[in-house]
Amino acid sequence: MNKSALYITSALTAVAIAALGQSQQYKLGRPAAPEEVRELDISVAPDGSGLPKGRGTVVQGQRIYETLCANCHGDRGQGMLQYPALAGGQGTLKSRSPLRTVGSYWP
Amino acid sequence: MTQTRLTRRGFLAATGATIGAIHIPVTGFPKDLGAGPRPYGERSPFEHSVVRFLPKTSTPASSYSKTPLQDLFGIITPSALHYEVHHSGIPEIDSQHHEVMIHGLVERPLIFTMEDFHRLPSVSRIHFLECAGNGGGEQIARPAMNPQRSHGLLSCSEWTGVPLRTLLEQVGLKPGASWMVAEGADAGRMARSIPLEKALDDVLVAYGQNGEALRPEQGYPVRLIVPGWEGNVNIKWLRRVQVVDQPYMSAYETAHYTDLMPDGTARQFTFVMEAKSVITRPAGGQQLSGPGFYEITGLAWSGRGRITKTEVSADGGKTWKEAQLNEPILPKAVTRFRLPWWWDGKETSLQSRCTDETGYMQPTREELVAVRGLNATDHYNGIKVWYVHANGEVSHE
Repeated sequence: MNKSALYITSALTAVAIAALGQSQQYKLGRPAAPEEVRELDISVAPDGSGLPKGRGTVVQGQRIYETLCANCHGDRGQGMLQYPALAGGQGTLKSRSPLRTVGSYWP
Repeated sequence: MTQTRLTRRGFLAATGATIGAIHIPVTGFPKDLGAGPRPYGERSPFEHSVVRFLPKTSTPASSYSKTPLQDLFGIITPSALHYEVHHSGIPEIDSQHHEVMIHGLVERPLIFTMEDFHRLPSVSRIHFLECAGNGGGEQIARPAMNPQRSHGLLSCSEWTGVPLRTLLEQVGLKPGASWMVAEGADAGRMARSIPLEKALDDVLVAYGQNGEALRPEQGYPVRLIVPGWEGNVNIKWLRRVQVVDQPYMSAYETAHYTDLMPDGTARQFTFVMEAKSVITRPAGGQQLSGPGFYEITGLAWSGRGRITKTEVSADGGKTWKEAQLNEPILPKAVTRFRLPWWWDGKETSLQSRCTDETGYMQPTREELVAVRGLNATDHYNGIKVWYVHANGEVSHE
């Protein structure tokens, strides 16, 4: 989405939100406690906010990948059977057999 | 059947049958009393061939089924025949314990039970649902053999629920709110970003489908209905709505449901399902019994509003005739079209093209491929052609 489209969308949304001001309150639904929100909220924003607290190294990551991922996606992320490749594919997107991976494609 | 009690209805039917026997041939009609009522109805055993088509997929949890469009009448899809696409299977959810949390950039984060939803002001509206990938095979020159195979990731139902706007009014939006993330309770926690402008316009938090509770495969007990937009954003088994300030780039709006263009870039957030139509009778897989009268009928729909015109060509696209649009013609719903046709017994082809209230006309496959190429197969809406052979056989090629 380009910048002007985003601007128009936010302007329209702002108008719509302003109109919510006179809304009817039905007093249904119970307040969500902060700990309930923390428990259910698993969203991670594109900038990484929302990720669980913690840190790790590439070596630790490799061990986790080998334990949890490699069985289906291959030891080098090349994919197999119905399990898609997770790496590679750079330079293939204009061809008739594009390989869409995190590295080559995901916008 | 051992029931002997003669009900009022059974008695009337029995006497009626006796009187009627004077006028109608008796052969083949039952002489014994029929079965009594049952708590939940079943269709005639003679209709059991009308079923969803289940293609072979790698796992049952990541699979789909297609609606038998060629066997249906009118515009409403029976709930038992509604198409399905599942990415993590169908969860079994007890409505008594299901809750939906609305939080994020809101004044009062709230949790709603199903009872809360049932108490809030409700609306019922007829809308189609269509998978973004419906007809994708047509784009890559693999035309499908019948309407179910080519266009069966399309269904249309009456949905009942609470406008999402009402719920957002209850929680109150904070400044900066511009998008929301909707998340399902399926094992993969399917999540999609939706602009608030749409959420405040016509999105429903739906619990009813064609007069009864949603089917489990349609999101029981509660789902989003995002009218006119690709099926995937109509999150089933809704468990959470988070108001945010940007799209969250979930897997289903980055890796999937994006359109790879010939220049290597991707079209993203291509939400709206554009105007599209298909002839369902006569269509591929059917047999005409000889020259004479046939009604050409089919379905037209647009994610941008009402269908205003549907034209049919029975001569390979040389001339087009305007079909009759059957009432009701509803926005973002399927419209049934009809055109009388006398077949002269000669080889020909049948195709339809529709126009919606924005003036947009359904393109040909060639026009669409010229712009989008062959690497993206979602959001395909090209014209579908059926070929009538001299022996009455109708096929896809």
